[in-house]
Amino acid sequence: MYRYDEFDLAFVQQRVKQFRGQVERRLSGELSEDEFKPLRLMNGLYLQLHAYMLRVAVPYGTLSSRQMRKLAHIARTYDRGYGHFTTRQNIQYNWPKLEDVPAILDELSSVEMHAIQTSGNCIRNVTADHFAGAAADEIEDPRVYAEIVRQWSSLHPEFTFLPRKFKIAITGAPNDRAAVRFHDIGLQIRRNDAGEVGFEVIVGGGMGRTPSVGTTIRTFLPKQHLLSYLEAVLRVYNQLGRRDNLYKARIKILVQQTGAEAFKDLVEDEWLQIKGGALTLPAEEIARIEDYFAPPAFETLDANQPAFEARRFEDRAFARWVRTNVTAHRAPGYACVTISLKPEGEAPGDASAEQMEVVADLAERFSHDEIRVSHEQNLVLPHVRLSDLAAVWETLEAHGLGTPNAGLVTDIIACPGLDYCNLANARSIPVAQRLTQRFSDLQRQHDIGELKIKISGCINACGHHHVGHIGILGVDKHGEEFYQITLGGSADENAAVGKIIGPAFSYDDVVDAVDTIVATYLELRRDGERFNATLARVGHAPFKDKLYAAA
Amino acid sequence: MSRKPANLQVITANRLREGDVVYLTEAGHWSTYLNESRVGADKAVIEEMLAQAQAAVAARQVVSVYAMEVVEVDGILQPLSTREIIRAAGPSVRADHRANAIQPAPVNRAA
Repeated sequence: MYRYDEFDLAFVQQRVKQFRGQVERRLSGELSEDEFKPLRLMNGLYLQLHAYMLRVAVPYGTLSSRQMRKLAHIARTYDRGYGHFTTRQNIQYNWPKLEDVPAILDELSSVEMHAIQTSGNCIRNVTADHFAGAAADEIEDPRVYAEIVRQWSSLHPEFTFLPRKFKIAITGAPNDRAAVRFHDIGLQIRRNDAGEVGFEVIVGGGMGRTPSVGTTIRTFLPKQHLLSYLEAVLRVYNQLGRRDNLYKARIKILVQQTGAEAFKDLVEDEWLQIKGGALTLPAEEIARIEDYFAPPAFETLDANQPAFEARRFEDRAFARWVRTNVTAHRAPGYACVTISLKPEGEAPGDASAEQMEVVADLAERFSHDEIRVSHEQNLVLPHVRLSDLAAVWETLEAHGLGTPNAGLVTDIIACPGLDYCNLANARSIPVAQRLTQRFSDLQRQHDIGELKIKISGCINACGHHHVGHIGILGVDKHGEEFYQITLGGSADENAAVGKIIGPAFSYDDVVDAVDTIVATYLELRRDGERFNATLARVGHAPFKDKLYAAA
Repeated sequence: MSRKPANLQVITANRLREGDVVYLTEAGHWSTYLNESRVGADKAVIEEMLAQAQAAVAARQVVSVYAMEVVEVDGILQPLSTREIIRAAGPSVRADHRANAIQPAPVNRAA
């Protein structure tokens, strides 16, 4: 894992001190709320529906046990005993007191964490594949470059007041688990014909009120030019991105209005001015950062572990969990474990302080001290020996963390919605909870197979509804919560934006509607056919007929 | 069940220091109990309440002040919008974090 050097440490500690002073000045009246608000937002502190909310950055979703224990400690000491893991691999605390926030930031800095770049119109915390450094299908570890981008972008003076927020995601594998086509910039690590490793650069993806799949503006960018090319993209955006209309300020609108080809030319022109200059990444610097992410010393193990196989054969519940929550690892005899934060009837992404500590202990004992946060609001133990899986599972089961539903219909992404958020029009979490109850039969879930439901409580789409196979968007109709359903979205390498199926459903009816869609899919699907493939083959009509038959 | 017309308003805000949701009371204090709110029915009164609230903002007691509609049902004030019901009662998803803002305030509560 990356460890702070003296610059990182000094900078984060200085920031804590600075914010402590700002809070003191706010409380003593030297700063008005108008003056203070942009300062608190630069430190991840929002004022939400019920209280302040602190969003803490988890760079590229990687945590050590020590850091996770600190997150648990903060939840218990300064909040209400739990935290909420988000679709940007961060954690949010829903109930901090303003007067406690400097102390919280101080605690975070002691474990090399902070809340910088989690708000405001800057380059936000960079996200990456949650199986980075572990996945069997990976070309290179994307966190190396995520860290390089973090160092370049942190408090970058030129890009602190962009037209709007700016999100970058990186994946090192062809199977995209980081939704790179739905970010302002998505970087996909590629190997070219000459065998060199570089990046495909995708720009202008995004969700929100104008969902769009990003456009590739460069199929292969050599590594050493990563920062100069990113700087060129950001410069074009910073100069030409709209500042007159909040809803048209993201880079996706600029790319659409300029045209992808013309936008690409602008970037290339800008790049030529700075290419090969100070931002060129020397191979030694890449190697230095790579050292931080060097894979742990994996034992040489047999890919076939008889005790594990026997347990899987004998114990159906264990086998079921392995089928969904265990993913192939690059090292023989190891696996990646997905810890579901979606148990039946609970809020997706919430974890109690005790659960965080259980995960920290497991990571320390069984996963080389590493934990990941996934953008699907689950946690991951990236490096677990197959022979330890049963022990890990038993502990998870005992603490409400063993739900065998990763990638299934109840592994729902949901934004905080109207239960917590100031911007929301409708609730998301209770819809997710009711869906997990409706589909609680595990056998049925496994029969349905991979199916992604994503729920947002407003058009800002924090719950990624546009890219759900089944997407649910909460809207306000004359003070009542209604839910619009979209079908056919996808966040992976087959990126697609879902299409609205028809008129919205009431809060009471939306769960039945989803059930009808799933039942219709099961009737229509061919052997092994996934939801989006069935939808592509039969179209929206059969679903629409079933949904609106009564009307 | 007696039900008055829905044009009653109260003033809500968050405490600056803690962030708690609060309501402006008859006495000009801020209470976490909606039912201790001062209720305004006509424009002049609501303007006066808002002015009072702005003074509390200046005095660094509260932030994010606004007027919201309530209804009175059997003598108990309830917010009109779903948003304000959730804001008063706490998240609808975690029973352990429910506030009791829309219940009547305890009789012998210390001020």
